[in-house]
Amino acid sequence: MAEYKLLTQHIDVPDFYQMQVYESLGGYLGLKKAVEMERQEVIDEIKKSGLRGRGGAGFPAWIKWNGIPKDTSKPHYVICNSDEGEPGTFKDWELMHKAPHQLVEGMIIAGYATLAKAGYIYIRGEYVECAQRVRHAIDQAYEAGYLGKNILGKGFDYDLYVHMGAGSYECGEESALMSSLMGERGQPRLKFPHAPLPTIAGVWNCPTLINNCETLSVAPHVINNGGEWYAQIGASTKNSRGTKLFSVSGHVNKPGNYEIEFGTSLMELIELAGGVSGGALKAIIPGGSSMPILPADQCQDAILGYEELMEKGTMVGSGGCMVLNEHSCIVTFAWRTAEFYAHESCGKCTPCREGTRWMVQILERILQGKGRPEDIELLLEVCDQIDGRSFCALGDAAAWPVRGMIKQFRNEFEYFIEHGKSIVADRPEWQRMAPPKHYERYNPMRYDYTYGIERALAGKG
Amino acid sequence: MPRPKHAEPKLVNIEINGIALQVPEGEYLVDAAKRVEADVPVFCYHKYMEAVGMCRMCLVDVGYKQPDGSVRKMPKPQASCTLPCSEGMVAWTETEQIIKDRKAVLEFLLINHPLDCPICDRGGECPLQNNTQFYGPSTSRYIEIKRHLPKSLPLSDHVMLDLERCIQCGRCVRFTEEVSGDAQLAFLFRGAQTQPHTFQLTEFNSRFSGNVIEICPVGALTSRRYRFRARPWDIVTQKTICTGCSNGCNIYLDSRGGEMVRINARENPQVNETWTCDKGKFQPNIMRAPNRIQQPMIRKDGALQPVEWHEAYALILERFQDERDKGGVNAVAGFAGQRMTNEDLYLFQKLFRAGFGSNNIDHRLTRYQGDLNKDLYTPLGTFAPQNEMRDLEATSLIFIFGSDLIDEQPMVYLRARKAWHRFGVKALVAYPVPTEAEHFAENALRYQPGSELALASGLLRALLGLLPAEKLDGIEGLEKIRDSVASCDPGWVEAQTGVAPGVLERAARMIADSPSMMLLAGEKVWNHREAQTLIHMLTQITRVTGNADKEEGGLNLMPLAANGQGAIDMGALPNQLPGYRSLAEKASLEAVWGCTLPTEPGLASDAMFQACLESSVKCLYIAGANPVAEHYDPTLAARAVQSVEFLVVQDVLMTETAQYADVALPACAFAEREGTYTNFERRAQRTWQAVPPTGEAKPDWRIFSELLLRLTQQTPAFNPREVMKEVGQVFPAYAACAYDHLKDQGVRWQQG
Repeated sequence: MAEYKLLTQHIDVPDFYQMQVYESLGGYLGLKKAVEMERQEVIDEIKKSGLRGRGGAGFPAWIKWNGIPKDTSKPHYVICNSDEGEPGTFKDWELMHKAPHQLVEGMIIAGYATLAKAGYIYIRGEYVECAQRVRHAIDQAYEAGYLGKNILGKGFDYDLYVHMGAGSYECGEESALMSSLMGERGQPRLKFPHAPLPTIAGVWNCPTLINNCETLSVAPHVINNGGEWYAQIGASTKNSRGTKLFSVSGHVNKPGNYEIEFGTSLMELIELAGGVSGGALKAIIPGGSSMPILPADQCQDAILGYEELMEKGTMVGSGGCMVLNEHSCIVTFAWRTAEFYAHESCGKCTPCREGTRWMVQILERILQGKGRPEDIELLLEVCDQIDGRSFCALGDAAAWPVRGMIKQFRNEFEYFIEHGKSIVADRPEWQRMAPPKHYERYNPMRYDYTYGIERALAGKG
Repeated sequence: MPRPKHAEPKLVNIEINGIALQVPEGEYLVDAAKRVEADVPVFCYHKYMEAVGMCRMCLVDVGYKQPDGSVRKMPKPQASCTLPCSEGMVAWTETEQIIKDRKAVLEFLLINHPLDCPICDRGGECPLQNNTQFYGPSTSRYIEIKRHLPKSLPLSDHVMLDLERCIQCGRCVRFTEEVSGDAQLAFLFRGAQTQPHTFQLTEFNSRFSGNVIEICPVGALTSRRYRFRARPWDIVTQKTICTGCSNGCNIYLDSRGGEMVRINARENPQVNETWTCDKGKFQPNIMRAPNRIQQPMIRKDGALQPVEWHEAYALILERFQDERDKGGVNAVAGFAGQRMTNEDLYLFQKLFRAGFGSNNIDHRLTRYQGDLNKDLYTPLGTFAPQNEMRDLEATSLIFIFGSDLIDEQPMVYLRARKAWHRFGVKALVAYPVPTEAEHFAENALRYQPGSELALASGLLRALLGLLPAEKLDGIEGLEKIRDSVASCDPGWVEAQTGVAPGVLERAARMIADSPSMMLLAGEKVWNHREAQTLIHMLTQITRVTGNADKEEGGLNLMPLAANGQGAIDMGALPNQLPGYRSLAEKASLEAVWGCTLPTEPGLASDAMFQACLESSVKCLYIAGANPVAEHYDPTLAARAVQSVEFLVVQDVLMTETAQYADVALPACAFAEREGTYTNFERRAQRTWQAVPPTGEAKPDWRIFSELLLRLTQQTPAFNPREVMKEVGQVFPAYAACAYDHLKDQGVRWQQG
């Protein structure tokens, strides 16, 4: 099976980000069709398509669309979550950079279906070029009359704004994203059942539809071709429909974004990306760094689908497929992953704030050759103490990969602790590709962020 | 929406640890758990702040009853401090997993905590310590290096920050954002580096900063005053009342070996919830002030010389009786301080009325010295604020007139802010200069100083034009009111006050559109040149808007000192007997006291001081007051005390007034004695003795009682409890405030 190009069909056409080119290739037909339909019909099409959220959780998109109140006593908003922070994931970058009109069209359709007043595209702070392209596309859409007042003569008013994040992974979490959008500290807020759903009280306490960039980009295709047509794609899987962009990176010959139909096998995806480079396959993380790792033997029969991967003990996630060859050190990988989450923890809740730092410290000590045999159990327990106890899913995301790696590659951890060096340390391949040893440069007390305070103290005398 | 005062909450059926119970819908599970005595430990949750669920200490297992009767358990444990109770909720607080989770959270909190409990102020009363004792692990598995941060960072003159001890629960940050509203504290950085501090690392500049010390669940925020001065197990804690202003905050006064070491808030949901202001919390230790009067003193050869109590009493009585016999009852006068308790004030006026037969008693330091009886306030009833603190949350508009609320009534400010923040109550401010209350007020009237009357008249005229006719129907004397303000058109008001017609119109519309309004009048009204007319005008505004007989609306003239309300209630006035009785109604009082009382009205304070200058008043007794420093016209007061022939000053400190005394008597400070204070909402509250008296100081009531004994030969009151009982006989509304009824939270006497 080859790629199934739906979202990325014309992505390599020169100037596809321009309105003319996009329209000449069938752009904005979905929107034109949508505004002829009743709003509920649009939602029904999404329901028929079986589209599920592409951000990581795989929540059925239509439930969110349908959950927005049908009256407008309060203004409604649509938010596109393009704060693509998951390590290993770069699909939104390509979608926004090369096909911004597709996203804009999806946003307008979503806005039409949910009676929204305005839409916000929350773009990761580092994606400067994407923001430029999306802004350009929005300007063109205003000129063409797809945005603004009385869109396509249907009496539907809708505005679209781009908001850039400030470089926090946590702001990809929907409630933290909304806090950030409102100018507050980028920390998650209470969620159902502790607080109303965002579809009732989201941004500015108004009904809000929040979807991933990829999910919204799919909407024009669903409307254009019909939900039933979309539902046929990936019909071989249990409950995953349509196509999915996977960002393949790591030890493959042709890293990049590959769009495949659900039901494709994981190894086919790796073949699409040119196969494993530099040695035999060791493990794959199929869904971005938050997801548990899949060792080579389990990769062989893995099928890409939400339920299918769940059975394997991992998840589709955001589709950040990271491939590791046999010469990679899992302990170093675990440390680097844990380091990322400790750095990105927002500090709101205790388990995540303290637990992620503790995990890094333990792993750093192991890397420095001072590991103790009981450290493995300790790491697992710390993971258990974070998982499910934290305020938002970042804690879970920090615990799952480390726990997964210990579970699947316990021998490597034991070897490291016993010998004070990696199981692959003596291989020339590892020595060639080993990342710089940050952990040696860092000292364990590096979280002393006190310079500002000391300065203030000095001023006070 | 304002919170209705008498709303019946909808009850839902829930189950906690197998015990079925009914709780109001929406109550947080952590509070519901208290009803069945299931202990759920918390750090970040605070009853009077919005719940956030950050610390994860209160995790419980939760399920919901399904229609078929089975229970569907939620896969993850839930934070009970943010989970509202709903029908069919089932919770378990002591499962094996929950016990493990609590251990885990405490282990996490302790890995970076310095565990310097032996030198920590909080040690012994620390929630982290307690929770660790009850729920935590016995040892830590953490062997890495702890986070090291500054340990003694002065945030302000009052607050010291220890960043290592901080567990990032966010209580202090949320307090400054939600409750005090000054948003001084914030979290800096993120993740494990998260630390609370002021923005830009500036000084913690707040009027309520002391509260963060109390709500901090560890020793991260400590009081610079209390630091290292005592341990919780060697201090004695006594319930009492703060006497800083008329809010009557409930406090705990902690002393060590008879020395006051700190003041903490005592919870009283009716009054101060659980807050204090910095003025109260960090008030100077008056008990150990260097200028205390230690023993009775008599001026001999131009200097005050210590004497025995009986010598002082004899001299006072001799001089007072002598002058009264020579110059009539108007030759003696008494000035009562508003820091004195109800018992003191009652006995003081009894001493003058029954003992010396004079009505020359007053307590007022403000410019307004007119009538304080019922007639002025008709038909609002007695001259006492109509509303209680809670009404701020139930009303729909708070009109702050001539009061810098945060300064005069800090707790009213906090409650008004809460009403706005939580319940969407609107606020309107009228004050000459910008005040803190303007931050949440929808509209502000900034008028020329002194033009309050013009503004109130203009508002009344505008209101009469705006209010619908059916609302104005049945208001007695409407035409008279209309005529009295007919000339106060917006143009005139602008010329007088500087308030533009549009602004006045907006404010009037706001009042007219509000279903109810609480008018809070402050210092600018008390000290207005034509205060009587101004109060009358405010009464009319309250009447025409229909708030005069509403429970959640009304007029509140808030006394400026601790027991200003009690002084009026107890009749420390020249023309009014206890219980708002006019002098003509003295018969019942005579029956109780067993003597005949004078009918001539006495001199109000200005007239009294004037009479001192003219030497018609020969003997002046000033008790618990410092007019030389606090009178609105200090020059007059100073000249009066200098020129009066015989001056008795009875006070805690050697004040500016006491310098001129011929006899100086030492009185107990508020924490050295017991008594009752009536706060601005007419709530009589008890104080208890916290520290032993200094020197030979006696409680004020005892001094008056002993003088009365020598004068009348009647059985004196032996303790304040008896005095209060007598007050109840004289003023039936106070019968409900007898000591047996007061308990910890006080009783609000009802207008009859």
